[in-house]
Amino acid sequence: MSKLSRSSSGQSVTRRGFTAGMIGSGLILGTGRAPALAQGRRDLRVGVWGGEFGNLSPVIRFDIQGGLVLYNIFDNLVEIDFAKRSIEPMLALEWANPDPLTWRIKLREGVKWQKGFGEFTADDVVYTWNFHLESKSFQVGTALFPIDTVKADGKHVVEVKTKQPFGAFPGVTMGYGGTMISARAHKEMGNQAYSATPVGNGAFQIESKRGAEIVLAKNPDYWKPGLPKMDRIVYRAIPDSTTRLQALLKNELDFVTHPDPKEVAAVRRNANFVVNSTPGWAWDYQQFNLKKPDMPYHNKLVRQAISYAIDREAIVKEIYYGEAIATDNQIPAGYMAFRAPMLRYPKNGDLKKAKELMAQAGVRGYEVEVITSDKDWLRKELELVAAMVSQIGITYKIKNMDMGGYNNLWLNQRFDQVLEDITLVAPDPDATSWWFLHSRGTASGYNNPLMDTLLDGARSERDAAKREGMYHKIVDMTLDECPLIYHCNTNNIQVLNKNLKGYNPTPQEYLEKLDTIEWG
Amino acid sequence: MGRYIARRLIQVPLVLVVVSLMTFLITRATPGDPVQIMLGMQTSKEAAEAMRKEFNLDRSLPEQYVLWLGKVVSGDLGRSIRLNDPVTTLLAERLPVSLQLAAAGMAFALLVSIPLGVAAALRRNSWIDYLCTGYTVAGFAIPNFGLALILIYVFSIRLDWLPITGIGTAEQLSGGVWTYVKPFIIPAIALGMLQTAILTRLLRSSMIDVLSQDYMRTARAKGLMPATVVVVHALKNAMIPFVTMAAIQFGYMIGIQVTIEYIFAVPGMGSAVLNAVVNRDFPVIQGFTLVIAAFFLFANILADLLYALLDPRIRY
Repeated sequence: MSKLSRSSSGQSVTRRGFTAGMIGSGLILGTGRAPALAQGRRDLRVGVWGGEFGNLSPVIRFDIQGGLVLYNIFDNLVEIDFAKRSIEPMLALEWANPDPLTWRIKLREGVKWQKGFGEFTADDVVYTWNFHLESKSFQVGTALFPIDTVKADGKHVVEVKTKQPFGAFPGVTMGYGGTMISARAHKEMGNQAYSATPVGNGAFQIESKRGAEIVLAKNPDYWKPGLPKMDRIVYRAIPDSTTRLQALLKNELDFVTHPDPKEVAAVRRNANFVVNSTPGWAWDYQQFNLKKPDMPYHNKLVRQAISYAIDREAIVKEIYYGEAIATDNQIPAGYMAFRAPMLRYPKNGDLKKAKELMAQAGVRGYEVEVITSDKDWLRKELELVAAMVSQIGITYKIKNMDMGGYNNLWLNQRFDQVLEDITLVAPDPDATSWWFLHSRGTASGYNNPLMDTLLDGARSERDAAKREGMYHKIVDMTLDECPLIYHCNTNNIQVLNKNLKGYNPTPQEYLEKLDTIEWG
Repeated sequence: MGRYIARRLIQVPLVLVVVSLMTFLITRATPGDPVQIMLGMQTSKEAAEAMRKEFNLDRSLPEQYVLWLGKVVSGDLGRSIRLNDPVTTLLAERLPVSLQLAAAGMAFALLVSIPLGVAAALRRNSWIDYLCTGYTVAGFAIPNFGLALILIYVFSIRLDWLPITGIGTAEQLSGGVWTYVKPFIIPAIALGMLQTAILTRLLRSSMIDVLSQDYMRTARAKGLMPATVVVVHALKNAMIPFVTMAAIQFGYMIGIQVTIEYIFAVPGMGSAVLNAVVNRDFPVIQGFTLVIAAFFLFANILADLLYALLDPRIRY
């Protein structure tokens, strides 16, 4: 899927609030020891969230902590230049779209698979994409759906025929869907063994994998000269965010992901550590089940009233302690067609306007069940949002569920309203819009032929400027129709030992390339 | 005795079948589809169907259970839907960690409860007895995760004596004895606190009971050394219920580690089951529950056998 839930395994049992109270922010400031001596070190200890590392093969769905490792074992066909907002060559040197249904991709020569599995060639691309298509993998629906046929034209050229024109091919298909597996290694090892200890073509290779720990070693044959800087990376999955941060402060780790935003302000004041907080490609949002025509929110004026009643800035401050950016639309910074929020709804809300809309809709007030998963911050956010909408007469009956139960209701459309968060992984507005708003994609049952036409048109359009305009229309229509109400884009946060240099943070939660990081 | 053991051992598979059936029914009755969780909203119907077929989830519930049980008999506990690893491989990784943590917790419980229980019994209504009572009340009252956080605050953060994490890491396993032992200390204390309270109270009351027996007066009248009277005559007899309770509690500790594993990032069985429940990873839930239940059953059998071994009056 073009999104990953930001809770996958084990995080649901949360005593974060309790823990944070016990080991409060003052301690973070006061007890961080001087970082370990950096001189001569060529190893890195990384603490990531989650209980254990699952699959590491790019042809089987992986979760975020798996992705954090996987993208250091594999390189993609293309990479995103986040500063320039452009798709740049990586394993694909160049690509062309000679006719609307053909893409020709020229591959980089001299790239080797790890552990002696030979050269990376067009056959590997053909094998990988065909494997996805034949196994009907998780990426077929999100990134590889346009592919009709794929074939090698010589050793280093791939030709793809698509079923329909697809303007986002470089970003979505070659980007999100462009992580290749070694055909030879995959055949020899089998799918299951490959998913546990894959053979990649990236900067690091797997040395060992045991339970909640993965050790990566430098790939001696890596194609980028002088990289990686580190000889060894030890990843440890630590589910509790406070434990993870405390382990960093005690020098049991050098780098941690996903600290509790509540603790970030305190750790910022500790001179021994550096905080990277990058506006992320993730949303918090409300979604309505529009297959229930009897519900008062089926009237779009009510949905607009709810959106006006939301004080998004308060959510950013109270729930995320400033480590988020209020937004009212689905296109985050860095994406094509991004426009700085707020586009329609004021960041502090407009209660007067909300009440007017409720009156205009002829709705005096009602009760509705709103479900969310058991993530601590979402429960708190939903309580805050419930208080906000109560001012216009709407009572949210809050129902917390574990992720499995939540997904069961959400995916099967057995809900009235949800509040959840989502991390976007395909770097194109198609991924942030199509699946959530198209009648064939959405879990909300939203069905608007005009929106479908716009989404399909933007997907097929090859001219970037035209696509940008089309997505502006899609966003404007979303803001008017409100099948989803967006609250904020949450930041992607890492805390590092101050002696670490060369790390390039990105907005993508799972993409933390560590090939350039080194001890200063 | 032999017939008793045989009878108990015959009961084990029957109990395990009941446990596995209940686990199977509860997991299937819980809302949540592992295939949906694994593949997400944007997957195709064909992909979901293929995955359901792969894990026999397309079959009827009786068929699913019988197929699973048939594999279990041949030693195959299935394959994790989320991790794509055989459950037996996960068990081989997780079980030793859980056993080590339970053993460390029990070692702490024994080290504290034996001297404290004996001292409290010998000095009834003294400050030692009151200390013992206070300690055991605290042990019953403080939840293990709360104690864990207090211990982290004191010994890891403030005093900087002990690490917060480290169990199961390559560094721990390849280091020396102290490197191996030190990550266990705080989790073991947090895990073993409740058992310490249970065992201390039990030993105290058992010792008081034994100390009031006629044969104790006889032992003292014979002029035996006080230490000999306490250790050989009193403690040995008082230990009978203590040892059996310790054996039961050890089995119990395997199953209650989950919060400790979560806080200290211990890659044990509890956290694996928790993740499996969240992701509705049925084969892992069923396989691990079966093994935890088996441990508890064997701990109970061991307790009964120890009881008979330590108390000659008991015959099965």
